[in-house]
Amino acid sequence: MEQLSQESSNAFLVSTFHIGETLWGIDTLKAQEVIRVVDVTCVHHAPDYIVGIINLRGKIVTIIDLSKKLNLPKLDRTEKSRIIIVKWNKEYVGFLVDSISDVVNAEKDKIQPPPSNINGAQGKYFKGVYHTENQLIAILEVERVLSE
Amino acid sequence: MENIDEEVLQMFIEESQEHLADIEPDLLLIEERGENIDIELVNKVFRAAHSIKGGAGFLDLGKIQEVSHKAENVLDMIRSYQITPNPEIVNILLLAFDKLREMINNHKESDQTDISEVLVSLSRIASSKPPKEEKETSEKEVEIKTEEKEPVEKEVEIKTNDVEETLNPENKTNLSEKNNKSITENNVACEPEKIVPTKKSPQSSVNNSKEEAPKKSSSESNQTESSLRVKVELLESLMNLAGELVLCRNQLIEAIAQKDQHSLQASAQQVNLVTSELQEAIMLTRMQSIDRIFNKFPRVVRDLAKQLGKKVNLNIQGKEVEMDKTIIEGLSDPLTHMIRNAVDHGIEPSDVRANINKNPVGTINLKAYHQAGHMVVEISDDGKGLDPDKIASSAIAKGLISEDKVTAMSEKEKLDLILLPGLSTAENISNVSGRGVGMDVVKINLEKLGGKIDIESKIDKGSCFRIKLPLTLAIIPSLLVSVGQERFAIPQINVNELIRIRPSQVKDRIEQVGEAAVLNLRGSLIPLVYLADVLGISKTYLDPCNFERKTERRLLIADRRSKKRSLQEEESIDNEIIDQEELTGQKEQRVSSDRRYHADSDLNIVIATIEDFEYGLIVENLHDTIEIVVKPLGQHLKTTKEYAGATIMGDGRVALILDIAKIAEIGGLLMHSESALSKKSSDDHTTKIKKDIQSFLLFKNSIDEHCAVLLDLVRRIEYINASDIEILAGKKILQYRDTNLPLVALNDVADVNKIADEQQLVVIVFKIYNRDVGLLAARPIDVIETSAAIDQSTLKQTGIMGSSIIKERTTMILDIFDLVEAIYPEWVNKNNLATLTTDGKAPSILLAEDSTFFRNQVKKFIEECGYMVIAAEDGQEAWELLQEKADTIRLLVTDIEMPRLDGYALSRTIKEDSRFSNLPIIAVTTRAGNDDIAKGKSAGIDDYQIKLDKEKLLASISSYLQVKG
Repeated sequence: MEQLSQESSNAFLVSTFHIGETLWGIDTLKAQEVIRVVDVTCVHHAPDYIVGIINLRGKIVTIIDLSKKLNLPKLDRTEKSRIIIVKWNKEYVGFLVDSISDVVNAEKDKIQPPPSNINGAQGKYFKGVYHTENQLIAILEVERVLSE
Repeated sequence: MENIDEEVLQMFIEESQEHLADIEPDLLLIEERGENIDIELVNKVFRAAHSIKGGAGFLDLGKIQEVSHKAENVLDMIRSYQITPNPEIVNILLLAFDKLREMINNHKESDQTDISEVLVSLSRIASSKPPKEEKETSEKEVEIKTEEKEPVEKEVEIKTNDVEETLNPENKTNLSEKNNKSITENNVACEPEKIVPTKKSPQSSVNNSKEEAPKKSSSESNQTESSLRVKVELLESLMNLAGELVLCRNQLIEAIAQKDQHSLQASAQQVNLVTSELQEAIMLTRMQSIDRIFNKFPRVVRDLAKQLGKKVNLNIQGKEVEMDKTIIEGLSDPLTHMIRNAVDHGIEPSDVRANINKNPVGTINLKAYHQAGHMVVEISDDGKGLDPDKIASSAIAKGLISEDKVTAMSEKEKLDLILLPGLSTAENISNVSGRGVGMDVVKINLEKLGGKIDIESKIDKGSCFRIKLPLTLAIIPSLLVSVGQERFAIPQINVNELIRIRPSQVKDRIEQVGEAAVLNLRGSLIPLVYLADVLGISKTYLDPCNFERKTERRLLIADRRSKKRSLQEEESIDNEIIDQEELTGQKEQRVSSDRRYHADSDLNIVIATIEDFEYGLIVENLHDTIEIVVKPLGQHLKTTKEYAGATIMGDGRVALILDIAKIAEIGGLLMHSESALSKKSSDDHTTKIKKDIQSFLLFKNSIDEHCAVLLDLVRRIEYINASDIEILAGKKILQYRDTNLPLVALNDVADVNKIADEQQLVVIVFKIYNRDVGLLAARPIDVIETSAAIDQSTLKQTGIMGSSIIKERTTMILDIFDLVEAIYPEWVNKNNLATLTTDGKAPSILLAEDSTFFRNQVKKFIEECGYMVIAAEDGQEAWELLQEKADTIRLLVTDIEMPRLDGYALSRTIKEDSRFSNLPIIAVTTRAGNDDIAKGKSAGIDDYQIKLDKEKLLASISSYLQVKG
């Protein structure tokens, strides 16, 4: 499924985070940094999955509530909430997540296609599932989440 | 050691580039002055050449030194009046400096550059009038030259030319060919690579060649990026601030160490101040004067004019205007293209110009200025202008647009077709520019900067391209306002004034017209919107008792009802607008401490303007004015048009910048000024003929009778008690502001229901015939704008001009003049009546108006005053009628927006025809903004009147006819 030929490019790091009970992951190379939830400026009339905008060292960053975007149950912002900053199309976008977790070593060819019973909004933004010894990580299709 | 050399070299290069940039305009000035040598100027160029020479000598850049030395010699001769700078000499000097620039930009290969030609020409000048003392030295130079020449010639001469030929055409035509982008890019990328290695002489390192080659092709454009000129003054203030910051830091450290709370606070405050000042100063460094790109145009124009054998003068204004660096850089290419266009296709050859009685020397004006929140760069020429029909037919021929679309287009819209990709009207496309080729690229480039282009042109008179750039990237002063906890920035340019209304005055100043609130500001009614409503933020207010923020419950701003009126009464009148839920809420809330009775919070209103439209934006709090840097919002927020961007404030938080025009739109205030309409229409080429939009005040005469009256005529609306009306001599009078206000009611003259016997009535106050008069009504409903057709027969009677369907209800349109005249016939101003012409006939007035309704109305009341009216349905017909009945028509009353020939074009046509140039022209329009008036003035319109403001229009007609005898 993944067009990989070289051994070295097979391994990659996954930054994992929680949205509700689910553990999600994105390619660590795609994540620029993780920050605490700061003062978010609300943008009225914006799509509902947009939390607002923040100032990240002089750049305006749009914050996306992943739980809304993925159609997951809405969870309150807590002490553990974090924003994962991703660079996309020459701009920065932040994903609001419930908490962050470990960085996991993964192999690309071991990503399994999303279970067929996950469809709709969740299925669309899903690259696949990665099994570690004791947990399942849902790998996020970052490009698609951001471009749709 | 090598490092130091590199540094010195870099400094030399930067310095020389600056010198060279200055030299060019100076040389052109020298050329212009001719014999009238400005020694100071020549000295300046001389010094520049000298310092390049000195630097080159130090760095052992032989060829550079040699050329600059020669140039210096020539300049020295000019300085000492030995030779007179003529175009030829200046040309050679320019070429010499071009060569220098080329060598400096490519200093590593400078020694391989062929400079023989330049040297020969420079020496020729020097020796053409050989002064006695100079002779020897110049001869010496020639010797040196020949020595050097030989080795160079052998290996490089032809090859460099080759390289240049392959590179230069691409550089020059880059812009016009950008639509074939892929091809051009490929060329640029490949060709130099192929050629450069052959160009290299064997002894130069191979390493260099690969690096240098691509650099060279793009050196011109990259140059600007690497360094930036900053005013010394600004730099010094930066240094000062940096020093101050260090001081503050030390104090802060000290305070922390001492745990001195007081000085800790003090120094924190200090740091706060200094950093924000520092930030501001640094942001200012981005601002550059447009001089940077304007400076190169004299040369561009001069060279091109020479090449084409034309005579062209370039006037530059507004060099000092500052713009954001990025905008300036982005402007360079489009402007160059347009200037070249103007010289190549705009300005005619001298002999052609002479034949048509024009100054043989063409003029191009290049102007930059700030206007209403925009940067405007204007390029105008007095050349042959653009032919809209030619452009249109070319667009049709090329299949860019359909024929029937074009027929509905105004001249201006046809001109705008030139911006379509792939259109060219030039009969023979020269290598310089095909007028039209690339204009689409210009447009795209400008759009990238958020700019817009506006074209005006008149055949044989010239054309004017106006580029409007928003200050999006620049620093803009803005007003900070807040609603609840949220802060917003409003560009200062959109803020006309700030008004704070005390609670006690709210009732007087703000009037509720149905759902719409209007502010009475020095006699004019200004529509109001709540920022909170527009953005969907829940309104809050500060409770005066305990300073808590509470959610605002009032629906209407002016809702500060008196105790006397029971809710039931109110309901009977208001049942349409106040929804039940709110009412029940109110019933529970209504205790004597309710703030509806106290209403202690002030109302803060920002009077915002866009173009010439004004409205009031109600905000909760007004804060400071700050300078902000606009940052674009991310792509996910592209749909939220109400924000122009975001900015980061002093405290690091983000504030959104409001787009005032969009806020008005969302707030339901339709933009209706002519300019706003035309702006929209120029955005999409699918234009229809604009309809006349009129604002009406809707009100109820009785429960079932909806009436409307032109809002322009309304001065204010008063609530009165029915018992206050006195009836004297059969006429209703109201004590009002210490005077008697005559009252009229529609049922006095027309067969309509009597106004309901309510305790509280509404008086709509008009000013007609220079008197205030009040119209009694049950209650106002709304202010609306409509272009709905008006039926002038069914309900027509005295005081009612017709009916229309407004808000799904048949609404009677009142003719307030008619109504008042019926009751007070003696008021009619007899001065406006027509004076008969000498032969006893009534003077004829030509009326051009496309809307049947307005045509009939205006015709009727002009005729009532004893004039003859000849009506035309559009400008074209009016023009034909005018020619037909030239001897009888004494005055033209015209609409602006009309199919076929609009009011402006009609006026221009008339004023340009010697037969009619004295014909007075009065334009009638729905609303005249200053822009429109200025535009009208230039088209030859003598006066502007609001449609259906009968009295003023008649006064104007009368005065023009009397003056004209």
